[in-house]
Amino acid sequence: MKKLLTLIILATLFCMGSPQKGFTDQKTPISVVENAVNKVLGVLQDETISVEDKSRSLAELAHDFFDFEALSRRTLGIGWKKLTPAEQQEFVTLYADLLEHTYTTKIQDYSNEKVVILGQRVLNARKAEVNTEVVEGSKSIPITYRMFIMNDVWRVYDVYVEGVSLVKNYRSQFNSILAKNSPREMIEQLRAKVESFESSN
Amino acid sequence: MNCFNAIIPAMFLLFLHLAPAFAAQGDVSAANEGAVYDDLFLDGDMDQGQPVQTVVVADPIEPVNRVFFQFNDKLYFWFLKPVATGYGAVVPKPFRNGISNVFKNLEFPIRFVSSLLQGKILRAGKETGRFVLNTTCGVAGLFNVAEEVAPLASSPEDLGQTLGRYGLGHGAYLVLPVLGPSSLRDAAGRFGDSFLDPVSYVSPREASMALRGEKVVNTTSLRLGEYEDLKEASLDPYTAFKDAYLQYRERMVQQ
Repeated sequence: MKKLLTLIILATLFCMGSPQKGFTDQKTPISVVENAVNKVLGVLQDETISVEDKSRSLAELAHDFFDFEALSRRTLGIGWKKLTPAEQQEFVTLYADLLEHTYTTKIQDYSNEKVVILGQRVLNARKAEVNTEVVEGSKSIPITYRMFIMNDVWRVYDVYVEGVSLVKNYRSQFNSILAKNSPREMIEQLRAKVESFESSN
Repeated sequence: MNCFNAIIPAMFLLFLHLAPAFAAQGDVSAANEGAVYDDLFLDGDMDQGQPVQTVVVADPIEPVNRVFFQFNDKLYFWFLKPVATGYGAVVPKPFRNGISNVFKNLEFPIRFVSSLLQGKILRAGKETGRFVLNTTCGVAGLFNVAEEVAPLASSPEDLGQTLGRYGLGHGAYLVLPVLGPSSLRDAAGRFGDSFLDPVSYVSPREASMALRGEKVVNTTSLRLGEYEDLKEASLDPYTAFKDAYLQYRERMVQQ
């Protein structure tokens, strides 16, 4: 009986420790953003790697930092359920390619901008936002990362640039496409867009 | 032995008991992920317990707006961009920044009056401080010296935002030729702003127009590539710019 008690106590202690996990040391939203920014800057400033390898590393970092399924679901909203599971997967992959391309090409223009991390705000038990600023000379652009925690990992589900939500902006576009086209056609339009990037590279 | 036999059911019960606590804190089994995503992002699209506000503004003259959108697009690529690129090649960036500062400093009456009309007395005071400091020490606004003084942070205010603050909606989305995305409310605001902009009072009229042209070219030369980036990233550029404009203005009104 003693053994059982010990086990229960140990198990309880272990479980009591975990709820706070999300907000401690390396696992706060702000530290995730800090870490990602530093890694990206590290890749950009490394002159020993080729442009192609840079793009690949940046894409990998993007996949760790952003939760593309969350971004996709949020972007399509109720429209998400109108897609078959296969279409949903297709959409996530293509949308990730689109965002990744935009993000990696944009970030490579980086010359002497500085990223300032301003702070984090907890939105609810699962969600938080991290406020940052990209400063270049006298210009500063506020960028806010909206993040959520799942399986103990904080990842980004939306980005606000100067108050403009990326997800809402794409939602308006997909909604306007869906108003006149089927989900299948919408996916094909997205594919054409992604392919136009790939052919231009 | 008896005791050992009891452990397994006990652990099972314990697990059942603790599972909801786990799930609520983000430790989710793979099978459960879909349900969590749904909960987070699908139902009601909640942020902080409140539905995400999406700005819906009527677009009754969309076909006309789309024509002007195309017109502005061509105007940019065929005229404005080459001119601004050439201008940027001739005029060094520090000078262009200086010119941009001068124009911004001259718009002081717009920000001052709009702040006052919104009851933002402190902000109006800050703007006055900035204007005095930049006009004197900053040589007619060429240097943004006030920027070094943290409490004097500038805040973009205009009459369109003021009307928004009073609770007036956009009315309808508009794309103005040359000027770009706007709305009935913001276009009215712009019209009012023009009376507060000293550049409008420069005579002769040709000189005033020339100054306006310079302002547009100078601004464009400092923001080359931004339009292209947003356009390239979008599937439906018209909708993308419309939504970005409305979201951006919404935030300005709230600030």
